[in-house]
Amino acid sequence: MILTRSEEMLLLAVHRLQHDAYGVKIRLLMKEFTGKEMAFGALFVQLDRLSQKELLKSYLSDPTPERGGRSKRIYQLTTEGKQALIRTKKVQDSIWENVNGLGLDKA
Amino acid sequence: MKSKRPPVLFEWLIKLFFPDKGSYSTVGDMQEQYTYIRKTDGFVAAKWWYTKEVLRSIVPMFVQSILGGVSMIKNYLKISYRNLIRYKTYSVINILGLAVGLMCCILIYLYTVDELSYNKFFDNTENIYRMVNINFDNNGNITRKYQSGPAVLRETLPEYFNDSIERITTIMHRSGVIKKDDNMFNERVMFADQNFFETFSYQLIYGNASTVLKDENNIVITEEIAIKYFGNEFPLGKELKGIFGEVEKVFTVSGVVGELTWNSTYNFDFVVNIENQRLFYNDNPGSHRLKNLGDFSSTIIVTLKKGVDVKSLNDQFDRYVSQIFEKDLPLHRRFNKITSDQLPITFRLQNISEVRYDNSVYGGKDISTLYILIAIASIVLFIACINFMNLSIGRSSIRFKEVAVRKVIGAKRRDLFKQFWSESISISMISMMIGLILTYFVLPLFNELSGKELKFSMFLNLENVGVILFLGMLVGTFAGIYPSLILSKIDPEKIFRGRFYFGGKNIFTKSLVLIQFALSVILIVSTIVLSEQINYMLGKDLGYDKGGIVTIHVQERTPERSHAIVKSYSDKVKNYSSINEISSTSDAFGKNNISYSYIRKDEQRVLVRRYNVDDNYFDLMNLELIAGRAFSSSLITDTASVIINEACAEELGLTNPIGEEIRLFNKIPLRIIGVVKNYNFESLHEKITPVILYSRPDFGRYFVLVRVNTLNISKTIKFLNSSWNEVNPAKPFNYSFLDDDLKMLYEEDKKWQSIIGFSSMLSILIACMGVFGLTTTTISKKVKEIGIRKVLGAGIIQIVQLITKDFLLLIVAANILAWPCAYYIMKNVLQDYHCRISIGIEYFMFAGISTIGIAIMTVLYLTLKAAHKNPVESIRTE
Repeated sequence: MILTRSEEMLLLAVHRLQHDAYGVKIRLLMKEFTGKEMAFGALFVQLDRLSQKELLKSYLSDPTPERGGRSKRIYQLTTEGKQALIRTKKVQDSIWENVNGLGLDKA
Repeated sequence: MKSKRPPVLFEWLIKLFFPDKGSYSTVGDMQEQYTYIRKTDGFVAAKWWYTKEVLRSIVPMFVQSILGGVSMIKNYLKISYRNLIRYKTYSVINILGLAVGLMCCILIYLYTVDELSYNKFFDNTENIYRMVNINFDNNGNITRKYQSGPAVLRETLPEYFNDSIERITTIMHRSGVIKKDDNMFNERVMFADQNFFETFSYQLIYGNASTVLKDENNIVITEEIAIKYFGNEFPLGKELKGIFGEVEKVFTVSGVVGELTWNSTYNFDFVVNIENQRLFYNDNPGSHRLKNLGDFSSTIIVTLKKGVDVKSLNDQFDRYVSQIFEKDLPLHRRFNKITSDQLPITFRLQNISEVRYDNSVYGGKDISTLYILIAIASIVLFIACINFMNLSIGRSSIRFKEVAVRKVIGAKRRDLFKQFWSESISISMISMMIGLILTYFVLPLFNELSGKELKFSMFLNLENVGVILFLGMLVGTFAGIYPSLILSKIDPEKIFRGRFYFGGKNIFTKSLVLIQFALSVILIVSTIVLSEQINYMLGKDLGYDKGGIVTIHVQERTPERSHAIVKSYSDKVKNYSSINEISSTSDAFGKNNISYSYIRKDEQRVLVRRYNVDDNYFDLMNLELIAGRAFSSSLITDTASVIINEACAEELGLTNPIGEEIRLFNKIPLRIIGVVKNYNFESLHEKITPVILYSRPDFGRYFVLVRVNTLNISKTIKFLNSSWNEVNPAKPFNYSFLDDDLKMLYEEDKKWQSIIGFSSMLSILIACMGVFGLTTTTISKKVKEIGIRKVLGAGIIQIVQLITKDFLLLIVAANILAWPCAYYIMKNVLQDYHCRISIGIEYFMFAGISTIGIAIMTVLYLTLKAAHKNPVESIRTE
């Protein structure tokens, strides 16, 4: 299975954040990636779908006061998630291999 | 400080969409971000961010949580769209009906939001309180609450509650004449402490909030008043002369306030420094309103320091009262008939945002009126939702095959349910859009009916957009849930074998139609009864002749001056040909200056309204005396005579009152010389109360009454005006017609009548649209039956009967169901009127006949068309 661009970015964000991978932080990192702010609603719909595909798993942390006494849902990559990332990377590398004339070298 | 929580509605929306078990981590994430933004950018920014964020999230959340994925929704929407386009009649009925219902809701929502927004726009509303004066009876129960208290408390309060009170603002009003050169008008002037503009953050165009009222010669006016008096001139520094009875003073305009928002209880035209009240008490400093602990007529506004707990402050007031009022307490106990050492009065603070809808305090409005409005809007919307349900069920047979095919291909019941649900939600969203457009166009009419100045632009903020989306979804869900359940239930095997008949008698649809019409009938009956009641009140014989009487306000305060003006004015105009009669009185009907007093006869005390009139009064008003005689100016003793009304005689228990003596104010003896037949001098809401009339030079007469010939009225008024200017050039000519004044008493009733009439029209319109749609369905199902019947020899009448019989029965049943309800409701409503009509059967008959008539008219066209159709065509097609 090949991931879409946004799925790929989300999985990578979760991976990079490790134990800090919850809503607010993921959203920040995604903003760094793309320059655009995702709506929380959209973000969670995507995370939810990735969890359903079993590419992500999650657990709840302890509640904190600045969150109105609600806990964080912290996401982690599953093995399938990691494999999917690797596969996607391979596919991408092979797509980009030997591409010339786009002006990539100059940039 | 405002609450730390994000806007409640949106928090709730998020929770609705993310039922992630137990902990709402999503909500937590959003709140974390919210808290962060609140810390860095402040409360408003955070609230905005949150609202924006939720709105941005609604679409993906909606898709995810309701439809379970984006894959099918495009298909669902496409099919909805095709269905809408294909069956245009249904679509128009559905969408328009819902749109009208939603429009009603939006209008009422706007009205309610506006009503509840009173006093909430000031900078620190949450810290501004008013003093409420509470009276107790012997058992310690609260008897009355007033919104005012003694102004002198402003001297002791800050000291006593030193660490809680930021400032005290005292407000009182006085009517007078404001004059600029030759321009003069009757105005109401506010007298307020100089910190008025610090407490209430009215926007001053000119002038500084803390200094503008400092000087006692200053006056602050509104922009509107500036234009009224100064036109295009620059108002600042200009002079205005205030004339209050004998007191005159020249003020200098020191500030101008921009356009006032309507939703404030503390609006004004003119404000001057409260210390000017001293002018009115120069000769009698003892009764000075600012010093007198017994004068409970001032509004006292208390601004608390930030973070002060009102509740604990309120608990200290009893102690404060027993200390400050120590000397006066026995007197108050006597007033309130308290024999124990129970505290007779006390004070409490109430936030100014609660002022408008607290009817436990004298002058507050009853919040149940808002509930009634909301109920009416919900009824109209409910009727529209019923249309939606009925039509969806009625035409479900069209979609059986579609459902069956989907099921065979593998759609589960849940998927089909989601499909129909999303379809009804999209229809309700379209209706919402149209409803908004309708609202835009109907708003001016609604404003006229309700006496408000609502603007559509006020409505366009993010929070309201959220409310709209939410309402749209709610309505779509409510109206669509039953049809969705029915449609998704179908067994495909039966459909393909052609064995499925849906509904049969279809009790559900029929009972819904029944409810629709029953509700409409109730609204119609209410409209008729209310308007009949108002007509009755306006047309009722009041016991005097109200037509053609002009009331002229003398605007003097002392009895001597008033008599002088009345005399010279009467002499001036009495020979004019169109003037039939002239009289004068201390109080005119329909004006709001009520003077109640006690009279005493032996040990009996009776509360009466009193009028000081002259001997012409009874002739002019055409009052009927049932015993004794009217006043006569030739008899000097008549200054000590009194005429009472029947109610007063009854209250005193006198069967033969002539010659008896009563005492006014416990001291002035008056001999009864006549009894006047009861007449209605107040609104007919009220019972006729005891009245006494006397004719004394030591009391003032403040209104001149002129009965004129109504033929040449404008010329007569012109004459009255010019004569006035000669007699009393210092005061403006201030007149009104007595019957107009009396009509004003029923303004509120009129408003209600038109709002209910408006909504009953809408409800019957929507219900008829529903009937129209249902008939179309019935006919389309019975095309073949009609064809065959015609072939076999049925006439047009039989076929019309075939189709309309069911509806007629339903509507008759609805009427029978509605009448007792309507009777019960209106009986309760009419309890508010002392003089009321009896609810006759004719109102119900009228409602019944009109609903039946309208419904038949609606279906007749369709039925006749079907009945005239050539049977060859209808049977041929298979």
